[in-house]
Amino acid sequence: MSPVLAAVEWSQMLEVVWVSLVAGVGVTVLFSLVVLGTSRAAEARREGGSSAVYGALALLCLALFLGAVVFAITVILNKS
Amino acid sequence: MQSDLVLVIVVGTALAFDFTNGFHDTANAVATSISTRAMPPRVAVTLAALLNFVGAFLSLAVAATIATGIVNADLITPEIIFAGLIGAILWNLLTWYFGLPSSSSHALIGGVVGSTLAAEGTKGVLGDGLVEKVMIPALVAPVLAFVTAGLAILVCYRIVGRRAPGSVNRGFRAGQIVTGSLFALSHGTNDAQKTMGIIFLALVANGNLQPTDGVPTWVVLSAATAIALGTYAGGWRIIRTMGTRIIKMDPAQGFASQASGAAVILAASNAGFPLSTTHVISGGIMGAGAAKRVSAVRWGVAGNIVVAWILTLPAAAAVGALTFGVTRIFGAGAAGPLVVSIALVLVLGYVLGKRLAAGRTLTAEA
Repeated sequence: MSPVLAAVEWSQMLEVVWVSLVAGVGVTVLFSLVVLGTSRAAEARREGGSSAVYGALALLCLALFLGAVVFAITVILNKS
Repeated sequence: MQSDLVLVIVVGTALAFDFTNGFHDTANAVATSISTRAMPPRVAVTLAALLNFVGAFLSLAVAATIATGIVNADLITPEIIFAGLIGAILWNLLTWYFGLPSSSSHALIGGVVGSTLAAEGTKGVLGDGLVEKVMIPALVAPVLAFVTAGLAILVCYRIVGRRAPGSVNRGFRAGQIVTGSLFALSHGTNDAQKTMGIIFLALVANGNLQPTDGVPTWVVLSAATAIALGTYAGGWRIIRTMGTRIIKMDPAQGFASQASGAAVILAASNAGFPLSTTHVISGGIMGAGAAKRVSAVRWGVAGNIVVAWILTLPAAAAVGALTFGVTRIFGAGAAGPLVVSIALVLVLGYVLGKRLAAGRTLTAEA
């Protein structure tokens, strides 16, 4: 490997790659489940059924999504 | 007296750069939210401006100056910084005029590298730092954001694809307010820092501060205000390119590109890699579009953007070097920066005046 490329910290770069993939896809999945849960719960209510399961799914995923946002803000604030 | 005048000019130029940085990068935080109608344009821009202002106060890691490890800090003078800033400002204005989302950080680094090369030759520039801190991240950032946003939108469509578009769009629009705000806050903590760092560097180079001193409050306040005002002014040309010309975006794609972009930026900044917000969000938008349908991306527009990315460093460097050469014609004191500043203000004032006059004529004719 050339000296210039050797200066790059590849292990850290690899970490950035997998963390980005997991976090980016994970947050999108969480919010998609919020949208799905909300939409299904509303549909169930309209049809006179129970909306509890989908409502709970939406709430749980919303809480996890907001947790991820708070974690992101702490990362922003703690960067050196 | 002479050196204080140079310092005043450098501080003024740094704040002017900060303003262009703000309006050039407004699009990163708001373009997707505006194009998917998650927020009305003025509300989106105002929120981004406020969060940029707040963000500037939240992180004061100014020691990590933008040029650290890229140019030899011992050789930097206020005149070199001035010439570098002019290179960055002119490249930012040119790319804004053509509606191209290029990186303000790369423009600044390019400008300072160019003026340092002109002043000190190759011994002033650290090649390894340039590769590690600028070129490798510039290659990784858009590709990583492209892949992440692409995967994210594919999974998202699997989850919500069979639901009624109305409720799905409403949901993702609400989510975009959160992800867009996160982007703007992160931008404030990152980009206002660059100007603070540059002003700090100039104050140290001029002997007003020691490298170990804290950042004066007036530096923080002025940098935060300049970037917030720039953001509020809104670079509408770039917002249009990013929001509507690369892909026609639905709210889920807007959300996926913002969430993936934020994940990439935070993962990278946590590991110490300075990525360009512009490269990341542009890559994310292209990825979210291409995953739906490759032909959904206007590859001609995307190609122009990539060419602007490649040109940013050398073009800003060339202007930075040229500016340093011009200032040196007037000697080593304040005369050079003063003449260049006045000339630039006059030219920009003339161009702006002509555009405003043309606008009035068109309005009158209409």
